[in-house]
Amino acid sequence: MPRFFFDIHDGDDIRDDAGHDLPDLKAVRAEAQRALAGMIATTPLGTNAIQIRVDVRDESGKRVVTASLLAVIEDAP
Amino acid sequence: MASGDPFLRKLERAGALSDEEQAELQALTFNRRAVPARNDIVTGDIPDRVYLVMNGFACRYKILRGGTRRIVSFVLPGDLCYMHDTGAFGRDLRVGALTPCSVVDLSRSELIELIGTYPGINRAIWWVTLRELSRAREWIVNDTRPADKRLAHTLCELLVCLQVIGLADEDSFELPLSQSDVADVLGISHVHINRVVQSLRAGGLITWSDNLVTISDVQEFKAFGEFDPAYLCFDGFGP
Repeated sequence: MPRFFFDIHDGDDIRDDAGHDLPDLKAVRAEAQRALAGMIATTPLGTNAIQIRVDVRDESGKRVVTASLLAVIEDAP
Repeated sequence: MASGDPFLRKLERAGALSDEEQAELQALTFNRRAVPARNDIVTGDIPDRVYLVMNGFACRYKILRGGTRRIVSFVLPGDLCYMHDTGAFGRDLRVGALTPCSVVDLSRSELIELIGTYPGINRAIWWVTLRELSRAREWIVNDTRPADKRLAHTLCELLVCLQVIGLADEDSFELPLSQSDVADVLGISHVHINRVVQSLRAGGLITWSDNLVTISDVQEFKAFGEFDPAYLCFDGFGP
C-alpha cells in the first residue's frame, strides 16, 4: 500500500514525517476531509475565522492532494 | 505473592485476598502463550474460556464496514478479557494485541466456582465488572471533550493504571503504541492526532519520544484533561 504524508498548516506548520498507508487517492481525499472536519471542530475560536490546510505528499515528495477548510463565525450585522 | 502478578495486584484494590484465595486464582491459569502485535488474542470460539493479559498492551475494538477501527478500551497487564461474554453476547468486540503480549487462559466454569466459594474472589470479580462499566461510561463522556483534552484524559488514565501495576513512575511511562493506535482510541483521524500531539508538546504539557511519555506537571495535566481517577475504582468499593 502506498504511503502518503499529510502536512498540516493552521498558522503553524506541522510536517508529517511518519506518513499513512492508504490504498489510493480516493482514500487520501477522504482522510483529508475527515481530518479537516475534526480539526476545525476542536480549534478554539480565537478570531472570526479559522482556516486549516492539509497538503498531501506521496513517497517521492510530490504533492498529490491539497485540501482546506474555512470556518467563518461572525455576529450578524 | 501479589506484588509480582499484575492480576492479583489489581484485584487487591477491591480488598485484600487471603493467601488461599490468591493461590486458587493463580492455580486457575494455564496455557501461557505469546501473542504477536497486531494479532487477535482470541481467535477460536471456546465459551468456557476467559483470557488474562499478563504482559503488553492490548485493546478491545471493532472495525466498521468502511475499515475504520475504533478502540473502546485498553486491556493492560492484569486485565481479564471476555469475562462477561458467554455465547454470542459480547463477541462482536474483538480483543487484539497492540504490542507483543503474553496471555494466559482461565476456565470460566472454574472461576465461577471460585466466585461461589470465596468471598474475597467474589468481591474482586464484582469490582472488575463495576470498573469496566465505570470506565466505559467515562470513555463515552470523554468523546465529547475537545481532542487535546481527550488525549490528556487518556494519557492520565494510562499513567494511573500503569502506576497500579508498577509500569509507570510519578510522571512518565512507556507507551509502545503508534499515533494511529491512539487516534483510534480517541476516535479522531490519523492525520488529526499528529496535530493534537503537537499541540500538547508545543504547550509544554508532555514530551513523547522513543515510546516514552513524560508529563511535565501531572496535577496541571490532570486538571487540563478534566481527569478525576475516581472512575477507575482503585480505592475499592468505598466504605
